[in-house]
This record gives sequence, C-alpha cells and structure tokens, in this order.
Amino acid sequence: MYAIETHELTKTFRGTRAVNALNMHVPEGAIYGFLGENGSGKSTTEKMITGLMNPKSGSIKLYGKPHTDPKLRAEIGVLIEAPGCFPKMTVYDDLMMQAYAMNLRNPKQEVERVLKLVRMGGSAGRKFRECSLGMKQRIGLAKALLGRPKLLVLDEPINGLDADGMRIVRETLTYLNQEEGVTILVSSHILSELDKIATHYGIIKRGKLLREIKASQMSEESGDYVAIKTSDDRRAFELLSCNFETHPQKDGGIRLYGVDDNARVTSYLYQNGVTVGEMVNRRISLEEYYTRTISAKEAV
Amino acid sequence: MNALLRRDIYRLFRTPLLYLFMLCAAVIPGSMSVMTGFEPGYDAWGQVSGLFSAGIFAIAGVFLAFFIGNDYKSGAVKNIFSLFPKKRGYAAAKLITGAVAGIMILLGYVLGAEVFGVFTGADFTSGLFDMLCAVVAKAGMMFLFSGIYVCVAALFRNKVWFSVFGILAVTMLFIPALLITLGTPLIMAGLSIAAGVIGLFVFPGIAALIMKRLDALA
Ligand SMILES: Nc1ncnc2c1ncn2[C@@H]1O[C@H](COP(=O)(O)OP(=O)(O)OP(=O)(O)O)[C@@H](O)[C@H]1O
Ligand SMILES: [Mg+2]
Repeated sequence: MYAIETHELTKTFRGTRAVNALNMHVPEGAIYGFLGENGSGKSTTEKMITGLMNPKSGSIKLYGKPHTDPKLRAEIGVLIEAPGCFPKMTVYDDLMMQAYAMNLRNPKQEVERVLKLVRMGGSAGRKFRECSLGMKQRIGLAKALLGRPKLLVLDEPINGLDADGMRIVRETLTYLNQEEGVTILVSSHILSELDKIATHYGIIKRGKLLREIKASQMSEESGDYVAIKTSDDRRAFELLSCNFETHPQKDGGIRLYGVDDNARVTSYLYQNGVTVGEMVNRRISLEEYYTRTISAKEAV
Repeated sequence: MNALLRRDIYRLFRTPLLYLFMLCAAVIPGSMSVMTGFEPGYDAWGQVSGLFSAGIFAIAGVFLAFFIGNDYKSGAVKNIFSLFPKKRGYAAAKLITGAVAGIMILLGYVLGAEVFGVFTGADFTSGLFDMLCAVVAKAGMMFLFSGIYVCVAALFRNKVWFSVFGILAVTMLFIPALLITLGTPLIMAGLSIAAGVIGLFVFPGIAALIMKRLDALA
C-alpha cells in the first residue's frame, strides 16, 4: 500500500499551474526523495498533501484513504519551508504548546525526547528567534517528530545545516525509518545527502512528475558497473562472461555489469589463478542521474 | 477542541501583549475622567462605563487579531492544520481564548478605574450592583464579539494589520448595539450572556467554513 498516493493533483496560482496533474506514489516504509528545481512545485505539492493548501483538482490518498481523514492526519509530522515556531517563545514552551494541542500523554517527556533526538536538548530554554538557522531547522524537525508520527513530510529539512547538523538529521531520519518504520517524504536540493538515505525518488519539473524510481532501479537503469584490471584479462573474461554481462575494454581491463558483491569476483578469479590488480566501482551519483533526467526531457 | 484550547490558553498567558493591553485598558478610566474634568465625589463610573467601554471590545479585538494572525504568520498553523483537518475546534478554541483575553482586559479596565478612584476620590463605587451587571454583560458579549473577530481574522490569515483594521471596522459598526440599554441592568446581563452563548455555537462554524475554503498558507 502507498503511504501517499496522488491522482492528477493540480494547483493553480492565478491561472498558472504550479502543480500539474501530478501522480505520485510514496510506498509505505520508503524514504522518498522529492527533487526538482526552484519553483518546480515541491512545496506546493507537500502543502496539499498535508492539508495546508486546497488542490484545484485531483485527489490525495494517505494509506488508501482520503487525506482529509482526521485519524490519519493525526499521524503526520510536518516541516514545510521554515519551522512554524513563535519567535519570542522559548523552544521548550513552543514545543509544549504543540504537545498540548496534540493531547500527548506525557507532554514534558515527549518534548524532551524529540529535542534529544535532534541533539537540541541543551537549547530548550532559548528563545526561538535567538537560535541559528541550523538550530531552527532541527527544532522544526523536533516539532514534526512529536507524538511519533508514522508519516513525515519534510520540505528542505537540511537547508542551512552544517556538516554535523546534516549528519545528525540524516542519522535521525535513518533511525526513524529503519527502527520505527516511519515513512518519509523529503524534498531537498542537497542531492549528495539524499543519495545517502533515500530509497525512492520523484523528480518534478514545472509541476509535472518526470520520473519516479527506486534507488536500486536507478543504478540498474543507468548502467552502474565495476571496472577491473587483472593479471590475465583474457582468462578473466572467459571466467566471468558466463556470470555477468562482461565487456573487454580497448585500453585493457574489463567492465562488469550487475555485480553486487565485489569480493566474490576477486576470490573467484583468484581461485582460478587470476589476480585482480585494480577494481573500481562506477556508481552513478544521484546528482548525475538527476541532471540527466532533467535535461533529457528538456529536449522533448 | 479541548486540546487546542489548552494550547491557546498556555500561549495566552505567555503573551506579553495581553499584559500590555490590560495595562492600556487600566489607564483609560483615569485618563477619561481627567479629560472630562472630574470633581471628587462625582459619579465617575457612570461616566466611564458609557461610550468608551465599547473601546474594550476594540482592544480585545485587536488583541485577537494579533493572537490569530501570529499563529499564521509564525507558521505555527502548519503543525496544527496538518493534524486537524476539521477547523471548527480551532476556531472555537480561538473564540474562547479571545473572550478570556477580552475579560482579562475588561478586568484591567475595572481595576484601573477603582485604583484611580482610591487615589483621587472619584467615586467608582456608586451603584455597585449596576456595575457588576455591566461587567457580566460585557463578559457575555465578549463571547459574541470574539466569535465575529475570529471570522474576520480567519479571512485575513497572516495579514495581521488587515485583521486589525477589519476588526476595528466591525466594532465601529456595532457600537450602537454595544450602547443599547435594555431596561434594568440585570436583564441586560442576561441577554448578553444569551448572546454570548449563541455566538459560541454559531461563529466557530462560520469561521471553520472560511478557513476551509482558504489556503492556510499563502
Ligand atoms: N502562494 C503563492 N502564490 C502564487 N504563486 C505561488 C505561491 N506559492 C507558490 N507559487 C508558485 O508556484 C510555483 C511552485 O512553487 P513551490 O514553492 O511549490 O516550488 P518549490 O519546488 O518548492 O521551489 P523551491 O525549491 O524554491 O522551494 C512557483 O512558480 C511559485 O512561484
Ligand atoms: Mg519549496
């Protein structure tokens, strides 16, 4: 079942289509990276999914039910654009207010838990406006995590974070996804970070979804390979070609496609008297794939 | 609604603006009396409880404009409306919070009058019963007006100043209604409370409709 499924979702602003007949599928348990240029409609889509904007047409389903279902909506955590905190309040008070609104059983413990999760426990007493950009983002994430939502919708949560902050958020998201089974829809321009955690991708351009793909599919489709150089390339070719798609290169060396375990290749060759001198994995980066997708469709 | 009300009340008493507005309300009776040139012993309460007490509603309205507007402006509504697709509870909580704030401001006004009386000898105590009735009547009316204000603020969302002017305009429209004296004060108090109760049931629904139609985020 899909955690989020949109059908021909459309939103217009004064006649222009910010989101245009979008059909998006976020599987349960996924970390779905939502990519697109500035102004392509990511935030608008997320606002509609979370009920903060009304679609012009089309529909949204969460776990197979209409997205207006109050029971389902109570289980969503959102961080869209800037975190929604009162500037003059302390971080603690702000989160307490949210905890009250959500009618959480142990509001104090819950607030402390989420602040600890994003390593902001020490800043609870600060006024929100006195926090740095990176701290604010993490506080916004903490707010989204109150009440243990099963679906997180995050719009550029790592915007303005330093390397350490990014790592903390990445680890938090991975933890939530793997240990607590939280489904995460996350948009970001920092592709190298998404590349590390996302299981699925959706690429949007001018309100249209260009591509929706599994991370694993992405590497297959884009022809990831392993390049090896050996003591006896001819013999190696003979040995490997029955198991892999194998291409000898003009400048020496062999390319292997569809390898998932490099060590097995090396030991197999070694057992047959061929030693591997060099082995390089060539995996397409998200950045490369993204650029390729965006520009390929440009020509159309 | 209860949980949202708890949130708003928690926020209300952590809002410096409330205390500032209470203080403003507190100095009104004194300054009004000074301006009208009072003499010790004259019926000061009769003076100040007249026209300008409508001002209490305006102050309460402006407060509510900020209270609701800042919910939108800060983006805090993102974490509320995403969780609560039904807006009625939100509107009702805001109505009650607005009325509570209004009553606090009203109390500031009455207290200000009494303190001024103690120091200057102006008589704010003649007809204590009438005064209590007036306070109860205004408290009741607060619920009605708060409901109207919530609707206006729902319309302008994060545009706080539009809400402020909208609410002031609405209050002006209703000044005649605020001044109506209907027989004995006791009847007035009763009628006002009835009006407040009706407002409590009618306006959250209307405000919810407005909120539903409009995008929560600009
Ligand atoms: N409230 C609004 N009023 C008018 N136009 C809007 C509004 N919000 C968004 N738009 C327009 O809709 C389009 C999509 O905007 P959106 O914010 O969804 O893009 P985005 O993908 O989130 O971009 P970014 O990466 O910069 O955050 C843009 O052309 C934007 O100008
Ligand atoms: Mg955006």
